Amino acid sequence: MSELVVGNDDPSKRTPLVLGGHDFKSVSDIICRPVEAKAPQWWMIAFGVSVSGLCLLIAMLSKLVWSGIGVWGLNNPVMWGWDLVGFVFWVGIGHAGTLISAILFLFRQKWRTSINRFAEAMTIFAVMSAGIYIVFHVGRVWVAYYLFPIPNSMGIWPNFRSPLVWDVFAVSTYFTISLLFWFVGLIPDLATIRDRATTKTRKIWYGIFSVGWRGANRHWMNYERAYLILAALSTPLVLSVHSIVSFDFAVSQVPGWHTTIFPPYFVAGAIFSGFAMVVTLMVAARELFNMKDFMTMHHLETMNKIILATGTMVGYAYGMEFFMAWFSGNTFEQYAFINRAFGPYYWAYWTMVSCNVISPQLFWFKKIRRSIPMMFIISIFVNIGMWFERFVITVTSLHRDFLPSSWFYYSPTWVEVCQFIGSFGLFLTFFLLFLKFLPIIAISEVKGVMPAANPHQPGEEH
Amino acid sequence: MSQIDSGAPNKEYWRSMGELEQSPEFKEFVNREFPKDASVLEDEVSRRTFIKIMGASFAFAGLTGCAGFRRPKQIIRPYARTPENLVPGRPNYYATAMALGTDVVGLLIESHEGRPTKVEGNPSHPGSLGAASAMNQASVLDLYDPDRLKRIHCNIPSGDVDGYGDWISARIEDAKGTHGANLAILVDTNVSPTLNRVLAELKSTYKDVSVFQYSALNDDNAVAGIKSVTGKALRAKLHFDRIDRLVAFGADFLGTEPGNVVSAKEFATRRDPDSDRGLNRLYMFESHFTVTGGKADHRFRIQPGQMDAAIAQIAVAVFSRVGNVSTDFRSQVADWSKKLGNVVPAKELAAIVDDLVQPKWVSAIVVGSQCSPFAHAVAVAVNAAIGATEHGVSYYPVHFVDASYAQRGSVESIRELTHAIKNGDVDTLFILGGNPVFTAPSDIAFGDALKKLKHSLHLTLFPNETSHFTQWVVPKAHFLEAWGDAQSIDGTVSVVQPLITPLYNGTSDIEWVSQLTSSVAGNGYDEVRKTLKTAKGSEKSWRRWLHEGVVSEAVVSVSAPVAQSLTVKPINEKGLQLELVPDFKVYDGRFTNNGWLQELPHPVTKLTWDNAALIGVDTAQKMGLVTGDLVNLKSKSNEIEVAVFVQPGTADDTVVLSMGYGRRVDGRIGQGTGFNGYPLRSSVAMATVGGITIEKTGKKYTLATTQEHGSMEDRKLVRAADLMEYEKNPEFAKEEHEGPPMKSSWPERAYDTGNQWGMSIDLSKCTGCNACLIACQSENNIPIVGKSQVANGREMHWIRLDRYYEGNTNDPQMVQQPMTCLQCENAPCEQVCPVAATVHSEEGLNDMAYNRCIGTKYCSNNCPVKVRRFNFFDFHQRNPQSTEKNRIHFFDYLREPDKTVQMQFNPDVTLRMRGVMEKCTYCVQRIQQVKIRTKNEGRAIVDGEIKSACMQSCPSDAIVFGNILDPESKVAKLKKNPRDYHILSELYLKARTTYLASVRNPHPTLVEERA
Repeated sequence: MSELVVGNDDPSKRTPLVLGGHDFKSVSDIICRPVEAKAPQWWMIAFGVSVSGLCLLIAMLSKLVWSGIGVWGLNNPVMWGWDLVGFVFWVGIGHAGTLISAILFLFRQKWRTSINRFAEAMTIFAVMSAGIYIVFHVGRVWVAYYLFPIPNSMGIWPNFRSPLVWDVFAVSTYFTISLLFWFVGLIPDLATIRDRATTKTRKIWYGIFSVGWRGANRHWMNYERAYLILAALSTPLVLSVHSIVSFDFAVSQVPGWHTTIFPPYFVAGAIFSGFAMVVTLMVAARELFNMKDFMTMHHLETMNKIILATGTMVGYAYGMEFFMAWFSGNTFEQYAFINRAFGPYYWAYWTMVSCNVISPQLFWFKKIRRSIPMMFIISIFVNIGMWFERFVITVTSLHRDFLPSSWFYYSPTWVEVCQFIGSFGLFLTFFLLFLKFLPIIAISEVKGVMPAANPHQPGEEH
Repeated sequence: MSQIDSGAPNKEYWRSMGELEQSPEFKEFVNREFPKDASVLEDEVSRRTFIKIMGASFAFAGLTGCAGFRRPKQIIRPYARTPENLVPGRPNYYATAMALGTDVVGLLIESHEGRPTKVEGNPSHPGSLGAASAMNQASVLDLYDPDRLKRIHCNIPSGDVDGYGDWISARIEDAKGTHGANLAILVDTNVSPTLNRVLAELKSTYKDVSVFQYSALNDDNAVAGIKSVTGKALRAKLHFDRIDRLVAFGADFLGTEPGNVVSAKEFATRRDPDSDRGLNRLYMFESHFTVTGGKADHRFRIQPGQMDAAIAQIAVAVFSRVGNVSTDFRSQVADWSKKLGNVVPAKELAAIVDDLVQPKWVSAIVVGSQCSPFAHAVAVAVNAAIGATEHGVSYYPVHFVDASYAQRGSVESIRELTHAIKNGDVDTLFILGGNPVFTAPSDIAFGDALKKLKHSLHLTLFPNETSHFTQWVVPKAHFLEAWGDAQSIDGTVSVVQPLITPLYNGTSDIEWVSQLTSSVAGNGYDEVRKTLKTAKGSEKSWRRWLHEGVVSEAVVSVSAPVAQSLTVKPINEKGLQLELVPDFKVYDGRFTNNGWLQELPHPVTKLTWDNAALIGVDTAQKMGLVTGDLVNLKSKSNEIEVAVFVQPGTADDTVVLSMGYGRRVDGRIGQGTGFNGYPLRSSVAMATVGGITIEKTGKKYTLATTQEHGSMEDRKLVRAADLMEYEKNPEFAKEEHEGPPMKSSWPERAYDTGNQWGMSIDLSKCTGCNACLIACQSENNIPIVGKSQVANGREMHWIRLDRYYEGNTNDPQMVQQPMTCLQCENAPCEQVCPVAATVHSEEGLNDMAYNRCIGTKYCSNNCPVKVRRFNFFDFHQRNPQSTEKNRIHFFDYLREPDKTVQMQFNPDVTLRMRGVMEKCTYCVQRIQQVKIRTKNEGRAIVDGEIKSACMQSCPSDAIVFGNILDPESKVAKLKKNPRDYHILSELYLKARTTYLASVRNPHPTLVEERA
């Protein structure tokens, strides 16, 4: 391993995935340090802010349930607003995690090792935020369990033709599998922390959750088998969950929703937004925890490339929607798209286009791809743009559909805005707890991709 | 059991294997009385067991004590003596009548266990023919209004409510002393023969008492105009079903004019292109869009001040073609016309006159109550000239023409009365109903005059502006609470039958006046019977009158001879001017506290909860005004602040403002709504106010409309054609479907057995009058949501009227389309509901299971016509009139509708809680009632037996409901009509509600002009 050159462009020479000449012990030390050390001040402040956000969310949800959905700005044609936008936004963000942990695992993309834990955690917390939205967007949350096929004396089942029922299954499956996958991956690392533990509490709790891991060969064998199976289970979910989310729109007949391009378009958008979120969080985390040796510029650059690729796909989808609207000859469809770009919500549309189509194109430039401030800004832009994409799809399609008599304008109330802020509070609270109490990089996996784990002669890498 | 022990049975009958084997277990089982473990209970109770059992008992006792989940205790009391014909749960219907100004509409009131719940038209009443207007139907809400005056109120600082009786006696004593010389009575427009008789008796008791009659919305001008030509105090009544060619001048006879219900019934019979008598043709001259203008085949925007010019111009042209008008009269009209100038373009004039003078058609002109006496006078002459009086127009003497109060117009009355008070001729005034302080012309300071009175009393339904100025305020009985009678313009007398004893000890004006003569509180029933018996009839006929609601048929119309000369002068206003018009919803202001009417979208502007100054598109542009701008509207003597509403189709340089809004003293519903137009109204300019200026204030005002977008965006939603096109291609509406043949994604159900309900809505007939909307609201317990929620797009009406404009934005045509759940067979809403809360019934209804609905709102998003309504809040709780509820447990609701308002609810329809979706059900409760009844009677359902509330109330008979599988049903026949079309047929909804395309009948020579 002589070529420890950062940013090697020669495809035959792989860029090293861990820099800084670490050995196994220093890897464990660095990754376990946040868990074992006292929480830094920035963490305390960030946690305080996030918990306040979470409290805001709880307050908004209480108001919502106490007074009714009317505290939101929804109205007759626009029955879904920031609630569904928030739901799709968060579900979308989750997708990067699953893609990184499952698909890249199956494709043996070893560079994923230092970011998969992080991304999976993001997935789970994002799906939780999404779940809050899907549960509380209903008018009578106390009977939301009707969505599940629970045998009852009335003999009524959910309507299996409804995409919302598919959604319930898709999202709950997704959450369950992601959580399991994450937890299984965590077991060896939890055991590492347990073994290193100096306090009794840590010993007990990490002991419980490392479920008796001893690092025996048999354990490793079972572990890797289980991990592979879960990865295989998760892989279709990457495609299916957001496809099904897109069915909420595509299966309906609202002009602007009823399009066959939605499933791939939504999946691309989800990965796009998810990677942007991972970049946003990782840029901050590697700085704050001083883990630049594990989350290297190479990782970031690779992700930026994916952002560029998916951003371009999304841009293609935007163009294709317009083409199809024109090509279909359907006046309602045509109007829906003209209205998107030039109607009352034109600002949302053009915000979306600038953020999602134009800004990632800057990643064609290597300098920008490798510039921390630029990628941070662009990733934020993409997050904003993807939120607006969902807003454009949900609200602008609904607000002017078939009968001009029912056309109406929708704007959110402070409750919706605060609830959205609060959903970030929920997400960040859990994420900060994760940063503090769990190894944010898969220790065992990172060790596996270090040169020390793979004693070959130089130039013999495949 | 002994034989078992005996061990030697003779015959081997055995009950079980155990018995056969005589096993020890079996022996033990037989010996034991109870199962094995039961004996534990018999064991001596140990300390531990005792504690255990006691603990468990306490725990379970505690559980049952969870009062939080116990049903609230309610007492249901049976009738000790059941009223006649009352079956609990089944409504009874009683006939009565409602008078609004001179308009008398016969009604049938649905009564549930003694509570009137819904107002419907009385089919056997000639003033209703089964339909009722929005105001008629909403009147039941007034009855239960908790803001009504509930007790006698005394405004005298030292006064005591208990002194009321003494006060009245003192007034009677005074009157006896002076023969009533200083006593005056002010009544609202009186159409009651009994009140007239009681007033006459009062007059005979106290000969000098003076009676005045004032109503803000009156037909003084019409009566004066007709009187000026004929010499008789007459009112004209048009027979719209007979008129083939009609020219209307400011006459909103389908909307705000008296008699609009019957006018619409009659007019609609001539808007069916397939009828034997063919389409009529309506030319409309008006300053602003009315529902009548919307139905017109040719509509002319014209300033109110130029209306007389238009009528004079047409009259001159007509007189030149038909010769039976005196030359004097003719030349006078010609002179006026010359002075006023020409306002009707030559081509249009030729077409109109051509239509009017054609002898093969019954033609007529009709002039609005608001128009000048000149217009009415000329109209009499023109109608006489073109022979309209033979078929199209009848004249009837005004009510009680012998009574002193009926010989003066309203304005004259109030002026004289004010004068008399100021002079000190009158020191005691009893105001029976009405709100003259609010509605009197601004130059007659009636309110100030009231302060001069020594004694004053106001008998009123609601505390209002007038009651603030009188010493005594006495609750008046609602018309559904007291006996009375009413006479229509054509002389038909109807009995006003009460449905309920007065809720707040109200007195009717008949009873109140009668006590002045007889010194004891009058009995309305006796008084009415006395009037009607004197007229004619025995007990038997009295019962028939009550049953049918009609006492006598119309009196014979009288002739209207046209005089030699024209004595009245026309109005000629040029420049920026204001027209003050009756309000479509609150009448003269009396319905401002009626939530249904407040939230009723105005048929043209779609405004709710407010009125506004309507200004045309071009004029607004010229003045730099946009909707919502607050402006100072100044007349020569007064000014008001009012919000602007830019309304297509309003005449240039014209501001139109309805009267009745902007009440200062009002209940919780009406408080703070709209702008008061009365200050700009003076006794010399009651309708058209010239010399108006508009000043911007820079302030903004939120106006809540239910429809923001007026263009159809080239979508084939309302399909319409001219008669000639229709005759050429009757299938035109169907051919407007675009797209390939349709196929469903799911297996389609045949729906080919039993009853399959469907509806047909005739757009040719629908005027957009909103009667269906109020009918639906009262039938289906639909809450009002308030202005802010309407502004947020959350109104709950199950049926709405979509209003679209076509053509030039400044001078468009208007079409109306009632839109409610189409009951699609391939319902998009049903497919997406995740919990199957909206599903299809066997009879083709798209049903809502409220209890199953969790409120994802997905159905509404997928509904292409957006007729689903979501309960964003518990709107009944949020009504400003709701009261705090006695909570029985924590989870109980915090508020509930006022107890009296609850009495209005239709017990057959569930109240929906917040968080659930609701929508039109085709009045499934009515379907079920008839199904149950016919099943009990062992017969089939007759077509027309089930009427949805909207169909029942529709004055135009535009809505027809029935079984589409029955080939003889009206709806099935209408669906075979070539005009029948499916809205949004591209979506393959297979909707059960289909529309009949609208057909207009423009004059052939003017067709190109319009296109």
